[in-house]
Amino acid sequence: MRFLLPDLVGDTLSGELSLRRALEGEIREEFSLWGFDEVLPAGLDLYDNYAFGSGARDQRDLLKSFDSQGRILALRPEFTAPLARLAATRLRDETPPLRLCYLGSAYRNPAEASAQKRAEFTQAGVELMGENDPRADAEVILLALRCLEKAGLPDCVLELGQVQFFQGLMEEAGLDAPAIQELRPLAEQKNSLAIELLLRERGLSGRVLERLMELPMLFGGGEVLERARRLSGSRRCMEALDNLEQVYGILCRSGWKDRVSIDLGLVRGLGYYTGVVFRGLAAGFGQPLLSGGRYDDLLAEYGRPMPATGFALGIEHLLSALKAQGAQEPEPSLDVLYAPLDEPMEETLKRCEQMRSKGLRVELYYAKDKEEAERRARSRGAQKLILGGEVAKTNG
Amino acid sequence: MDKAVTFALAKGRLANKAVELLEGQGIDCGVLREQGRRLVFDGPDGCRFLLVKPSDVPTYVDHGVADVGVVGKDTLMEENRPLYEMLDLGFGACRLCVAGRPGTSLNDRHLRVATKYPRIAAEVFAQRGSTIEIIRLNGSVELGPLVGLSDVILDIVESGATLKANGLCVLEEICPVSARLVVNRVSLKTKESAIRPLVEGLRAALKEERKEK
Repeated sequence: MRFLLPDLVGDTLSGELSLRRALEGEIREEFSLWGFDEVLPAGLDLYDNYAFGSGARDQRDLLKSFDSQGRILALRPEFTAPLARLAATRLRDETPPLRLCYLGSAYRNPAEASAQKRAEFTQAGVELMGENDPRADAEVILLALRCLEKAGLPDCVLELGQVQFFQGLMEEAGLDAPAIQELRPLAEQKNSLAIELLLRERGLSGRVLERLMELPMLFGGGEVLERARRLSGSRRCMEALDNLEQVYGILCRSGWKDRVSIDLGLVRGLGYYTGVVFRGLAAGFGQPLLSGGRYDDLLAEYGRPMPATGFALGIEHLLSALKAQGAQEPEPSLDVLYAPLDEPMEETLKRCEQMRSKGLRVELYYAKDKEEAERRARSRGAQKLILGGEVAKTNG
Repeated sequence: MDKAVTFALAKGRLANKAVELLEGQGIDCGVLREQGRRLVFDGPDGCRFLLVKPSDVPTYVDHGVADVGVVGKDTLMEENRPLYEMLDLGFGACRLCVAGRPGTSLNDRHLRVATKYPRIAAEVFAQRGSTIEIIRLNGSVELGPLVGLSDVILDIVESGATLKANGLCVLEEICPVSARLVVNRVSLKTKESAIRPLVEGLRAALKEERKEK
């Protein structure tokens, strides 16, 4: 008999798990300190809940099953859609703004080749619903930065974009929805050549074309905003840049200038983003750790129109990035190995309880004699060995 | 944190041309000229070079173990990874084509397609609304139609000489391909001070080169 696991999942053992739990604890605490309330939506949901509107997922992404009535079930692939559903249903009587957060497993069927191949992963994130002030964008981004700082990631960057700038350029160029649909991934890939080919095919040339081809290189510090202003005079673009500048300004003035940068080519795959978007990147780890942004139209699709912003952080990604930047797994530590020998059990339990109430980690070991107990204490790296009925003996 | 750039280069013809271009940007690639079985080469100015199989270049760059890669567009299309594809380097130019015996129809039946690019083949024929059977081969794809293994092939064609020598011809051109400069999405930002000037320098040099032609 061989015990196999399904593809792209893994067990976590105690060393890694204690690092992970400590990290999750830090993040949970930070969310709570900022006034976010934790919720846990159902892990198993109806497929229909992920298959509609601007947040619709490719059905190949979802892990599915059937219920007894033949309805299609899906394991939750992320938390924003279920939290939007909660806001519009069980939380409909709560007065906005809603500050919700989550930490839990999500599941996806990784169909395409990608370095971030995992079928089961953990996401931690927040959704701030009912605020459209740029200060709310800045708040959520600052919270993301604080989480990375608390995690102890020394070298990381948060990049900001504004999808309305891209939309404004599209509007100015007079491109229709299918063309925009085609162009979006090319902009995301910074593929100026393909952008040029596509636009020429659509009969664009001259200034309009040059502008759009600059988009992939519009990244860097605050000077990017000035460069972008020279590119377009459209009102939509200007408003997008003003909005981004407000958010960027708050972050810089709050002491995060070195940790934030701008990338106007950041247009994001999912269609539901409507404003400032962002991604967290760590040196030495090839994937974004966290991503988020403003989605002002999504909640209306659930019947409770209100603006919103939020982010999701990949716990496994964060752990990998920490390891890439030199974090160590903590060694398991045992304070006391207690061998009762022939001491009555009720006496043993009483003494262990006393030690445990002081916060000591005590392991019982039913050894036959002292030598056996000593061997076990050494192999477990116990700070102290106590034999039943005897005075404590220090080990090492 | 280390800001030196690691390059993944596709072994073979593309690597030589890539080295020429990088040296034009003042990156010392002398170590790559050493013959031997080494796979990792450390340059004098901190740059590191990995010589890998072409189809592995996108993998190395996607995982971030290489920051920058030089690889053919055909490989990028087949691997379909989320990378920044920043420059068309112009060299290694050829065409991705469907080829077969002259007169083979692509429409009226269930086609068997031999190819090194199963993903591209699936996508190209799905767009045409055709149903196909993909036969994955790793080399000498032209043999497919000759021995009756497949009806057509999907492959890159440079001059067409190999096709012609085997009595085959191009039935449909899918797209032109050439070498591309790809950059990891994180590295572009975390090593911006090194990568940005490289991309901009290469872009200017390529523009100059095109003008001369």
